[in-house]
Amino acid sequence: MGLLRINLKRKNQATRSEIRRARPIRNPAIRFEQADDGSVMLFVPVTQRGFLGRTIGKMVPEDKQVELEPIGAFVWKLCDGKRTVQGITEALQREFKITRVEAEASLLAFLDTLMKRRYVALEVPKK
Amino acid sequence: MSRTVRFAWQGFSLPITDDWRPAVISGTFREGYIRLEGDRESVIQVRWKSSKPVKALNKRVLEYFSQLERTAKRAKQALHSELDVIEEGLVEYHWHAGAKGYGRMWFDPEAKRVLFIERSGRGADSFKREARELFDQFESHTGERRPWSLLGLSLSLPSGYALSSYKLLSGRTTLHFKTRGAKLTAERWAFASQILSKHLLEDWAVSATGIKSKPMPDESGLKLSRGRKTALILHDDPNNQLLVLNAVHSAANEPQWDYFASI
Repeated sequence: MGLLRINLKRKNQATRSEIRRARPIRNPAIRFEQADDGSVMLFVPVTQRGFLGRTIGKMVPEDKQVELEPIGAFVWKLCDGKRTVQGITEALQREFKITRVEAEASLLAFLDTLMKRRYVALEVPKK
Repeated sequence: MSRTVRFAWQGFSLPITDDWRPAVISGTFREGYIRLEGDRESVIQVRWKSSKPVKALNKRVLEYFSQLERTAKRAKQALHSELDVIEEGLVEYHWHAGAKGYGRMWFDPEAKRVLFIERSGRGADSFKREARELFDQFESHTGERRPWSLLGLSLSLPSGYALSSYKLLSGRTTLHFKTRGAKLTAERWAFASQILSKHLLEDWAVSATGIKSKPMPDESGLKLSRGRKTALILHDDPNNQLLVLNAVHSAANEPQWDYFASI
């Protein structure tokens, strides 16, 4: 699995204004299915490395399943590479009637987690 | 789609849009400092200090200019500043170097405090009018009730309640107060509909307050009582939030529904 080659920056290198204009994009290698209760199940490909990994890999499922609760699922679905962080913040604010500061803080923390796991990347616009 | 709300703290309140973040909050009613940060390095600062009547505030502003000048020098910039004495106990000023700022300092005879408010920022945009509106709509509260309002939690508490500590988390705002004969915790929980999709409000109320008694419907929400402990829980559906007042109190200090400023 590999992320799209995009203009990727570490969060701490971008200014807040750059981050707001950035576009989160889901890792295309991750499949997802939505449940009736609003949650989303991610199917994350498991990479087996080395001889042992390849041998054991034959005995374990190819995908790791990760469930996102409805708020996380809402964000996940908006990480389509078209919407900006600011746009998602506003959608989150509207949908869950939270303050803008809360929406942005929650979103950035969640995106940070997803980025560390390589579930999403952040396309930062050029200056 | 920012909306204007009032930020209220330690006996004063000011209008801000909800995209301003509290960056520094410190102090007591007698003395303290807050710093709110907005977009594009915009900053609102408020400083207050109990004081005897002060007539010559211009001296304090000039001291402040000296500080700014030292900072500007380090950044190899020249500071331009101007001070207007509007009346006795009220001065206004502005300055610009790399950034610019508009400020007002005055003595509030009701609260017996010197207050300083400044709106500053960078960039070419003018915010002089915005600063003027901010100063004009700044209010000092010295009545029997004192407002407290930030991040969606708005309270109107008897003035005897002093803030003892606070915790600001995304989706959860907690303020702890003390007064003679009572300790009060006020909390706001966002994502109410998500919480209530998993728990009954009554069960959640017992768990959130730690008061093991049967919640009873009361005036505006649920009430839990046990001995000297009382909690009021309000489900504010339009704003998708749960508001909680949780007190350990004497008979005279039972929390009231109108402590929630939204009621």
